[in-house]
Amino acid sequence: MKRTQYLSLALAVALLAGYGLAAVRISKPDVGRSYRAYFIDRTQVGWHTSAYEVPEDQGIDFSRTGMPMWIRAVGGLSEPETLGTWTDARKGNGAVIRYRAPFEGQVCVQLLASPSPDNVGGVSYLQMGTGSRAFTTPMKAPTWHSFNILLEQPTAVVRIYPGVTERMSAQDARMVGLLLLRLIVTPGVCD
Amino acid sequence: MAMFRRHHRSQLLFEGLLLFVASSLLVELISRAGALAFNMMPPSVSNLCRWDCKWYASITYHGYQLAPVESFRGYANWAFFPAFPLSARALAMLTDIGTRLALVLTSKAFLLLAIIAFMVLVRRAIAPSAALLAGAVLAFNPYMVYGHVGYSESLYFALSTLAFYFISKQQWLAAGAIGGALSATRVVGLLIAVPYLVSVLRHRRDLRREWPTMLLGLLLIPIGIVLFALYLRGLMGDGLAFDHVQVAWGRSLGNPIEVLRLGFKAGAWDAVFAGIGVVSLALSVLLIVRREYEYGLFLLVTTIIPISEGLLSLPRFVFWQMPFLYAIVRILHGRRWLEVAYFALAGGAAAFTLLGWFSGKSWII
Repeated sequence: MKRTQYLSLALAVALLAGYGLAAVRISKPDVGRSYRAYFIDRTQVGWHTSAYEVPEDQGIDFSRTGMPMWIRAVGGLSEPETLGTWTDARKGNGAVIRYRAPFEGQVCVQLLASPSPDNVGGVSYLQMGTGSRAFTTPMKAPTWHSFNILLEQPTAVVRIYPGVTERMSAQDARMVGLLLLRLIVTPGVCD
Repeated sequence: MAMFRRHHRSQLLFEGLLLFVASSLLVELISRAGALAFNMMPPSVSNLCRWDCKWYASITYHGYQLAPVESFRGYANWAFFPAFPLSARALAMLTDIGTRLALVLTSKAFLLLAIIAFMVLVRRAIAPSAALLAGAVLAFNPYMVYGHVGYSESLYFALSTLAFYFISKQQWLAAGAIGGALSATRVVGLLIAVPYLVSVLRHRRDLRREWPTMLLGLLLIPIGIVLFALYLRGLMGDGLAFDHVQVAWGRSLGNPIEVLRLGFKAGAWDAVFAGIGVVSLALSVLLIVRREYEYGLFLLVTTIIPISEGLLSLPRFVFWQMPFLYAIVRILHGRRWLEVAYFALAGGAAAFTLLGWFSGKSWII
């Protein structure tokens, strides 16, 4: 090999070593929990949201920006629109709503939701603790669904799984399933 | 012989300059005509520098953000690569002009470079008689507006053309160095490694003798994006913020076939954009069939990736992809009637997109 080829080889090895060190540094981001949840894991809905005050029996209005004070975190959701918020499979397997205080015993869960086109006539699921309920979404219009669930153990998490997910449109990469409008969880049996 | 070459070089430079001036004049004329006839925004630097140009202006003036904007979506300028705003900053510092004017002038300067580089490349790769045609195809492409409005497309085009030129001449280190600048311009610039590797395979007989140089050239390509990532890691803690911040724009990779299907199903602009995507894929296949693997494979991957992200910006990415215009030149060269038909269509489309830009339409951002 010529001298220039040796020099090229030495530089190539130095570059490779540099890239290795860079990869190690880049692979360990030094960011806050909120940044990680929104930008990296994509489990947090919205970057900068403020909590609002509302009685718990009025439930979550998914057309509002932010969440009520008594909600700790939500995931698997897109951003609020005029009517509500779509579940987005890119941000998690189903919607997850985590309350600050756990529920126990008998609870009534009421959900107002509307299906994406592929979910019309399909079956979706709501889960709270070990209690799981299937519900059908027969028409495009928003429909109330009520569930009486007896919790065997205290739980603060409600999960909602659409039957199928589909891309919103060619320009909109969201993988939607259900449009959530309102969720109300109250102790006791539904009326 | 040397005089002959010099004569041809100065003729090519003159033709390139002429095409650049004509392209700039067309933008000026259309914007003024639009302002007169349709009550559109009058031509000014602030009307030229819009959308992404404003993000570049924020980088050129303030640098990269330390944290996202305190809004629901959390926008930040990390999505925009540094080579273009750094060039504009250098111009602003040297000439003491405003940031947005510097961005517009920088994009125009790179357009001139892109036209000349493309003419030189086509002259070598197709025929000397195709050089002027190539310059015109670039200067009057239907999305020519992006070469005049403070976007990084003209820099990207110029660098990718130079990289292809040096690859075709087996000047591996020059190709790698240009590739390094390309990967600091746009994330897909990194994919210049694909034609580089194809060309190395094409010249594998030289591998035994030249492999250290070929390897060094290849390893120079990622240097731009790696330096940018290291800079972001040091500045705000996340080296991959340029990718992660795409969540603010709702972007993520999806199934490109599904995106095209939904685009055609939706009709209107979505169908037009999907059609442009299909044409680009078809041209990449044409280049591959013609055994111009370097151009064909590069166009294929740089078309599939933006399609996977959605259709909105696809025409901009496709019409500022050098192999796409190269394939058009290949088809047009030697067919006068087709040339006339193409320029009638492309000119009309360019005028239409320019009017769309100056009237603030959302289908051209």
